Parts: sequence; structure tokens; C-alpha cells
Amino acid sequence: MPKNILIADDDQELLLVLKEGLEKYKEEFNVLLAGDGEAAIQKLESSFVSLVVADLKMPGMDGFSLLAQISEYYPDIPVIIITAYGSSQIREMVHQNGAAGYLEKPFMIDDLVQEMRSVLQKEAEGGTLHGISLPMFLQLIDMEQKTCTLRVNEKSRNLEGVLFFRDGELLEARTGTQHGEKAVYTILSWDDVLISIQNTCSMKEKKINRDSQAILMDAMRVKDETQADAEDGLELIEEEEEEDQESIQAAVKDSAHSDSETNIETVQSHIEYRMGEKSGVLDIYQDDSHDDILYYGRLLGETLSGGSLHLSFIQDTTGGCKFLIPGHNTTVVSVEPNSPREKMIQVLQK
Amino acid sequence: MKELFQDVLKMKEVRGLLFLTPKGEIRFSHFIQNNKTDPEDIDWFSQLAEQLGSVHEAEFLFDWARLYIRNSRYGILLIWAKLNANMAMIRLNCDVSLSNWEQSSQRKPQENRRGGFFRRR
Repeated sequence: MPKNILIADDDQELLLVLKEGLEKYKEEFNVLLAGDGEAAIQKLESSFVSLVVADLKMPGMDGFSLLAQISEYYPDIPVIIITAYGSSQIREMVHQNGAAGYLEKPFMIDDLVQEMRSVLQKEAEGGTLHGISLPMFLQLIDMEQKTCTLRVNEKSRNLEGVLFFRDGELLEARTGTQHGEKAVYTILSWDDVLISIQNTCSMKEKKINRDSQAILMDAMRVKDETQADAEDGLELIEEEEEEDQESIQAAVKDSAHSDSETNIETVQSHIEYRMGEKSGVLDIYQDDSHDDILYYGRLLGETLSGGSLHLSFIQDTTGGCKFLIPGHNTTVVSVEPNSPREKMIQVLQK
Repeated sequence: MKELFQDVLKMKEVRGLLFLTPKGEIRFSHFIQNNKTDPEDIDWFSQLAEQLGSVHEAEFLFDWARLYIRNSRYGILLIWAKLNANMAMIRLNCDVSLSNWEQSSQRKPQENRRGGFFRRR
């Protein structure tokens, strides 16, 4: 699978030349372009990048600032600095600031490719694993008190995430724009993963403060819940084709029934506590009649890489307003049309 | 078509827009992010349009994005935005865009009729 390489340079012509020049390596590298440092940061937020090639002199956020930002928020992503104003002092300064590589302009495409390959080799220096249970592997890291950076690739949906460990302690995780515990939950929810191991950890600060084992347990619980939700959705669309599924659905719903009242009470007390009478809540109940819309919402979320669906709001043509909380059984919070929507979204998302 | 939706598209947090016919056929699509699947390749928009039925508007909140759907007799507008998007402005701009669409779609038949009238004279 080609690695995403982000090239940031304000010289548009050079960007195009590099893009075209790297075209013959398209099985190895997928090239993303950014016209300045800020655009590069935006790309880093929206795409999973393996390597950044950045010009030193750019308007706005220059190469040094970009390097500093990457070291702070994406310390696993190596940066190769390219510059037309090269000198031994600049080279030294670039390396001191954490760059993995340095090239002076003009350079040959092949020189850049060689530099990129040598930097990227470190990404999987500790080997790659696949067909292994990620939670079990993380427990091993914890037991052996290993220091490493794990890149996890969920192959079927091409999702990627990174986990940072020092002496077995989980310091930080990232996938998409998610960081911290939330990212751990997302990464651990993936099946069929490819794990690349780097035997170093460039993350300096511990950003996840809870105990690794407790997070792992929570992540497994979240995964189980997510799987149950997915099964609900799957059952919904296969209902007509496989009648046998109905009995399974009934069994799932029976087992979830005891949770239904608890869910309604929890949602109700949470809204009352946070909003009081201002919420405009008319009724809270469980109802699967909107599950088809939620299903298509989820599909769009997946297609556009938005992550998991947490909440939905629907207003019908008669003005009726409902918040839908996905779960084993969809919890519906019916509200008055003048209910403060954004505030309710904030409350219900928690 | 892009001009009709420029107020929505120029909002910083908006990452993409799809405008479908009431039956779910794509009229216009514009995204400023890389998608795993090109939204134009999605073949289930007709089912989505059917499900929307009497829904006037819908919102979906994901891990790191939100989707706003505005259903009208002229078509279905889907806005893909960052989580911190100003939804009140998005809703307002969608209303304006759909109103502009309504006006432009009504204007065309009138122009044709006028053309026919002059030709007859």
C-alpha cells in the first residue's frame, strides 16, 4: 500500500514537478500537496501522512514553524527539509530541530526518493504483524514494558492510527483528528489490522493520564457495544432476505430490554441536570422507526471518513423535532420546535 | 451551479456539498477533502431520498464531522462540515441557496416561453 507523502512548498511549479516526478513511484508513494505550512497542518488533520517534505522558506508558517508543530502534535511523522538556501549551519539547525532528513535545492527526484525511503524504513524497523489481536498485543507491550510507536492499519477501510508507548505506558494515540483515549477506543475497535512497529517513541509528554490497563478494558467494552450496534444495523437490512435473522434480532432485543429503561432514565436525568426546564423535552422513549435513516447517516459518515455516529436530529415537515441516540435500541428524545438545538446536542453527546 | 451554493461553500468549516434531485440523483457535488469513495459513485442515494420522506431537515454528528441534510421539494442538500461548524449559518445559507435554485429553475421555462412568443411573431 502506498504511503502518503505530504509535500509543502510555496513554489507551485516545483510542487507540480515533484508530483509528476513521483508519479512513477505511485505504488510506493501517494503524494499530497500543500502550498504553505498552514495548508500542510490542515492536510495532516484530514489525512494519515507517513512523511512530510517541507520547504524551509514559505510565507506565513515557514518550514521551522511547521517542523515545530509536527514535533509537538505529530512526533511520529518524520520531516525532510528542502531548501534553496542551504549551508552547513542550516543543515545543523534543521537536524537540531528534529528533522529526519535534509536536501538542498536543486535536487534530483531520485535523491528525494532515496532520502524518503531511508527515513520511512525506520517506520517499521521493529517489523510488521498481521492477523494478531491488537488488544492482546498491547497487553504484551504493557507486560514487557516496551518502548515503541505502533502504526495500526485497518485494511478493509484503509484507516490508520498511531499508539505511543514508553516503558509499557500508553502515552498518546491518534487517528484522524482524534487524540488521546478516544483515539485508543477507535483504534482498538478495528479488526483485521496490520501493525508496524518502530522501536522508539518520539512522544515526550504523557497525554493519556489513565492507567493503560483500565483504558484497554474500557476500549474493549466500547468495541463490544459498537459491534452490537453494527449487528443491529445489519439485521435491519438483511431482515427480508433471511427470516431466521428475526429470531436473533428478537433475542438481541430481549437481552437489551433490561437496559432500555436505564437508558431512558439516564438520558432524562442528564438532560434535567444540565438544562432543567429549558430543554423543551416532550418525551423520551425507545423506537426503531428511524433506524433506516440512521443507517444511511452511518453509511455517509463512513464514506466521508467522519468516524462513528453519535447523535442525530430530525425535524419533520409538521415541525416535530427529535434527537436520536443510536444504540441497541434507538433512544428518541422528542422536543418542542423551539428547544435549543445546539445546547441539546452538546448535552446529549455527553 | 457552484455559484448558487457559494455562500455555503465559502464557509471555512464546510468540507463538501451534495445537491440531489428529490429522487436522489446527483445534480451537483463539491468536496474539498479526499474521500475514500467518491460520493458520485454512491449508488444508494435513491434509497436515502426515499427514507427522508417527510423529513424536513436532519443532522448527524460523528466523531469528527457533522452532516446536515435539508430536504425540499426542489431537491436534497447535504452539507459535510467540521464539528465546530456554525450550523445556524449553514441552515440559513441552505435556505438561501434553495430559494436561489427555486428562482433560477422557474426563470428558465419563462425565458423559453418568451423565446417562442417572439419566434411566432
